[in-house]
Amino acid sequence: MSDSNHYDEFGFYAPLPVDRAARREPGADFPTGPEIGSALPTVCLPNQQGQLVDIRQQCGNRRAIVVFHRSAYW
Amino acid sequence: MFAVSNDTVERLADFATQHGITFSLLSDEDSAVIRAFGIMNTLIRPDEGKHMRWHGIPYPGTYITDEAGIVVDKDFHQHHARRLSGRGLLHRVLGTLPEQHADAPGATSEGNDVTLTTSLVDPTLMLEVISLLVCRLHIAAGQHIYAPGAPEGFTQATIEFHGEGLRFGEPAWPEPQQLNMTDLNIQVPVYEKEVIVSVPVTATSELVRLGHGLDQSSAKITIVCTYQSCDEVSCALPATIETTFSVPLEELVEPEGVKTYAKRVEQEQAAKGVE
Repeated sequence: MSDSNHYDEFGFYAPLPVDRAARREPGADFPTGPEIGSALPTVCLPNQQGQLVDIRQQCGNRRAIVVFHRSAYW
Repeated sequence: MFAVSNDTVERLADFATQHGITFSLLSDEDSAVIRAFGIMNTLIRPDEGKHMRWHGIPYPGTYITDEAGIVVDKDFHQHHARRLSGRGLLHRVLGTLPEQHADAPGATSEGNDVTLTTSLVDPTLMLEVISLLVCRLHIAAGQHIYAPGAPEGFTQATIEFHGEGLRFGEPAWPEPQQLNMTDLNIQVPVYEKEVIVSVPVTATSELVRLGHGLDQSSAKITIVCTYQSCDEVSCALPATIETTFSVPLEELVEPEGVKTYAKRVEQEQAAKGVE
C-alpha cells in the first residue's frame, strides 16, 4: 500500500499525512507541566453538560486522575 | 477522573453521548488551563487546522493527585498516541501489581522446578495503548534461581518477549534476596518461591492502522524464560520455558474526524487503483 506519507518517524500510522501540523511530535524534552510534589493548578471548566466543574472542590479529600487529551472530535 | 481538552462543550457532549461517558469531560475552549499548566503544543501555529481547533491542544498526558491535590505521579509520552491502558493506569495509581483478571488472555507453562504463568492485565491490546504483561515464576519449594546481576558463571534468569507488530518495554524485576555462599565468600542475588516480572506491551501500526479497522483480530506473544534452578547443595542444568499465546486486538474509540480522514485516504487510494 503506497501510504508511506502517513507513517511518522516512530512508525505510527494516521490517516492524516505526516506533513500536517497535527502530526508534528515534540523533542524528547517537551514540557510536561507541574512537577511531582507540586500542587495541581486550579482547573475550573465547563463539563459536557455546560456545568462549571472545579476539580479541587469536586474531589474534596479524594485522589484524582486528570487526563489532558488532544481532541474528542478528531 | 477528569479529562481536559480544548474541544467545545457541544463536541464533548456529542462524544460523551456517543460513547456513554459519565465522568467529566472539561472544555478548555481558549486553552487557558492548558497554557497555565505549560503544556500547550506550540508546534502548531494559530493559522493551522483552524476549523479542527488544532492550535491550543495540549501535549497529552495524565496527572495523579493525592487527597491534598498534590501531584504524586504523572504520565507523559513523547508520541501523542501513546498512553497507559485503563487498568495499567489504575495499577499505577494504586501502586499494586495486578492480579490475574478473568477476562485477560494468558498462558501457563511448566519447566524444571519452575512454572511460568503469564497474563495481560487488559482483555485486549489497542493501538499504542500501553498494557502490561505480567509473568509469574513459581519456583519449587527449597529451590532458588539466580537473579539478574548474578556474577559471571551463574546463569541469571532472563525473560525475552517477542511478537510481530508489538513493542515491548523494559521488564521490571523485583529486588532479589542475597544468598550467602560462604565457600566462595560471595553474596549472590536469587529468587525463591515466586517472582513477578512485568513488562509494558503495545500494539503498533504494523498491526493496526488508525481509522481503518482491524486487518487481523489477534496478535501472538511468545515468552522465553531461561533460568537455572538450584538448592543448597546442587544445581540443575540451565533450562528454558517457552510459551506462546494469542491476544485479541481491539479498535480504539475513534473520534469522527479520524474516520473522515480515513475515508478520504481510502477514496484516494481507490481512485489511484492502489491495493
